[in-house]
Amino acid sequence: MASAPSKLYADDVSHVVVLLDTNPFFWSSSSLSFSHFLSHVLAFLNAILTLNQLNQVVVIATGYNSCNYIFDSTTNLNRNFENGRMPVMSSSLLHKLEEFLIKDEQLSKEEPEGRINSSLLSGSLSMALCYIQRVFRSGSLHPHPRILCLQGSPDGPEQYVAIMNAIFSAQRSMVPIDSCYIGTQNSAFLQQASYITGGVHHKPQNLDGLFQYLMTIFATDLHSRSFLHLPKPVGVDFRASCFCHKNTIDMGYICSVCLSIFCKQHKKCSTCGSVFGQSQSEAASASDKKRKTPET
Amino acid sequence: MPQVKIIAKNFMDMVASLPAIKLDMLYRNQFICEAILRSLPPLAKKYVLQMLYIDVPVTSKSLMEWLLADGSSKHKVAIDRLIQLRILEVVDRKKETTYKLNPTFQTNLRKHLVYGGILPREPMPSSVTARLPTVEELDEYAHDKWERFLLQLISPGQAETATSFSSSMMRIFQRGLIRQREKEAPRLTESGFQFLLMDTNAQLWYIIREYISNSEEQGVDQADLIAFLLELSFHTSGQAYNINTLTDDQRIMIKDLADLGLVKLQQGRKESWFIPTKLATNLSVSLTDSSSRKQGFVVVETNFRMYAYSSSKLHCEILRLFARVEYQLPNLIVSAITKESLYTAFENGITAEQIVTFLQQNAHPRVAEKIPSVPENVTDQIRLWETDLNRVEMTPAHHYDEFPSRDVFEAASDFARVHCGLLWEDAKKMRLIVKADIHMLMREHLRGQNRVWQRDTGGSSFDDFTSKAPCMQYMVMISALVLVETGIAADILLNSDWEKDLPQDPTGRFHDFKEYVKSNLDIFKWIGLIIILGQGLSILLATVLRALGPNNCSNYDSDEEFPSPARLPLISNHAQQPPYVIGDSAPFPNKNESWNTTK
Repeated sequence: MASAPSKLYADDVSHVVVLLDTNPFFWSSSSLSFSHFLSHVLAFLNAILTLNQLNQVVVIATGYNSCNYIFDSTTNLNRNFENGRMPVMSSSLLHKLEEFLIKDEQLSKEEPEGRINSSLLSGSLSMALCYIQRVFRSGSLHPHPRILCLQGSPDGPEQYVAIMNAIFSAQRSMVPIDSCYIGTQNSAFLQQASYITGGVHHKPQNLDGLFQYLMTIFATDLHSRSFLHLPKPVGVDFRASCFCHKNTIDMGYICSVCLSIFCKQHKKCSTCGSVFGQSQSEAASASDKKRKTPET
Repeated sequence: MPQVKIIAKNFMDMVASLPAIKLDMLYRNQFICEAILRSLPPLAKKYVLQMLYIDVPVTSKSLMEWLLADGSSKHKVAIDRLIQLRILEVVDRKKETTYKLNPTFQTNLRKHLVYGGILPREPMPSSVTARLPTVEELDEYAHDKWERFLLQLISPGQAETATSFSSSMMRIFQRGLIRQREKEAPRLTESGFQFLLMDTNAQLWYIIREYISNSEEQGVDQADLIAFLLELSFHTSGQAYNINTLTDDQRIMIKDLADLGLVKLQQGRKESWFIPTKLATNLSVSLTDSSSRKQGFVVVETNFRMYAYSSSKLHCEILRLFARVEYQLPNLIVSAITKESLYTAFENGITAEQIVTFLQQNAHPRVAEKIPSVPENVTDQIRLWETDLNRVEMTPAHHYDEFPSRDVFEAASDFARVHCGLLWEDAKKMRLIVKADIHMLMREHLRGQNRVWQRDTGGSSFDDFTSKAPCMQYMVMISALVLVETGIAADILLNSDWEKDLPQDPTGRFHDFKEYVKSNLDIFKWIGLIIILGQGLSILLATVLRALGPNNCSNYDSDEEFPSPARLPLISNHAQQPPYVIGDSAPFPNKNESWNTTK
């Protein structure tokens, strides 16, 4: 059964895991520069930590090839250490982020590849869920966590299965996934993720006011969501990707045994190995019926 | 969970009541802005964040649009609160109410969000401070200090090491919590017990509030004090801060705060520093959070025994308020919840609900997992005992029995019923309980009856029943006689020449009588023996009769442990105290002290 986490905080305490898209391919083409984006996000993280003393923020960077934790407010609580002009929170975050980007770049050099410029969302989602599971198991007293995806790069259909699995496990452990899509075309994955887990999906129209969007929509804790008007999904893109060519499809074939999706008809399911053959089975059932009718 | 409330415990009420100029001064400090933001209701926080970067006034309508239909009450609460704290300024324009954020607050909060909070002082490098206490040590220290303070608060005689608070300061803290009567040990009041039941954070706020409201008299500015306290709450617990960074006023304050366990003061070779504890850093947490709750320690069993795994004196004192502490081991207090102990608690104004809440809140983690954490029979019984007190109504009454006949009894009970004074009657045993108001009437009535009855039965000794006095007289006489007799016998036996004590007899008659007795000694011996035997037998007979008599038997209708009263005269004499009667269930007047008179 779903491990229903005991929500012991009646108040507006939130524990947010923020997934930060650091995909260089996206940011090089985006209208909003990465540094601007970061300053919006840093102010937003500050605001969340300001709202309640018990609020916690974890930031996971989603790169092109890898993902990693870059900030955890539970360990970085000294807000008074100050090197230079920046408070310790921002400086440690930026420092870690830089390290991460360099590492990510090296990885992409090792395996040059002509794939779509999507970031590794499935990896960071799984990391977030792992972190949340650890919070759940740490003790009975913990705020109810939620995930916020700040994503700009397009969907990578090859991650379809992994992302869907992550979404379903988030649903099972009742973790809402909020998503804020700052790219040009909308992301079907994030729409589905928010829809399935009961989170909020929004695509800001004006990226200069990103902070206001973040504060208005995504700073809302789970307790306050019961009495506030939040953006409702207008239409969710439920299209799936096929397992064989990782294409997003409108119509396809589904294995009746394991529910794998294919864009073309196959003789055998590549996932579970069951053999398809519609004509024989139909004929067999028809002859069965014929044989049975006289007896009864 | 029902939160025990003793006062408007919200500290922010106090901030809100400060005059506008002082509030504006407070808002100049970023940390106060942050602390105040945190103390707001969730919706109010959202409004503030919404409007943070909006410079033009926002209409109340557009704020309402953000809410779902059923949130209007929340909206009202939030807006009221914001206006009360002067965070929102109302700007009336073209009939529509519009709001604007307080500019000082707005700019400071903006700064805070962008740059993060920067404290006015930095922690000292570890090279100066040789060894800082670990987090656990610090927690323990804070806990210990706080507990000692509480112990001194509730029982001033108990604490071994008094804190440096002057007795006048202590009295201010105790005001409202402890009732001190002259020549009597101070007792906890109802609110005092509620205070003990609150969690540490709420208690702390209560004390701090008192401290702040008192500070005005000592020439310290309230706003400064509040600002300093809130600032303190943003320091990192466990880090050392140089005491020289404080102003003079703050240095005085920090000594008091150290006594409360908010900070730990340490002295180095050259400098001294203070280390904020958890208590201090939790100051700005809103009070509704249950996170600061202590771990429970009480296990209550179904047999009303209570095991408290605690070595704290304070816990022992608290338990003693409503339970009988039986023995104490180094880490365990064994006590029993008894009817008597609860009655004393109820007398002190502690309610059953509070006790049950206390037991549930402080349940040991092992039993806290179970539902219910306190056995139901115990909680039910505690509540029942409380309702016992409320159920019982006291009516002064008189008890009549030993009616000579059924007619007299029935007439008496009818008489009482007519005068609406009959409380209880037992027709079989002919007993009546009548309200004290009509006792005089009743007596008149019975006197009249008595006369009639005496005439009817030809003057039988009805009087024998009516009074105990003649009986007493006989008893006195007989005992005197027996005493004199024993005295003379002893004198004769022990004093060899007792005859010389007798007066001289000039007539010689006595001598003749003596001679006569001596000559007939045998017969006189018999006579003496018979007299003594007769007396002995009559005493024995009286005892037997008393034992078998009708008054001393089966009066145990009540299950109370008190013996039924000894034989009462039909018309009670006035020296007797008016007995009380309980409703209609218990047939006997009970000892006064066993019932609490509720007025």
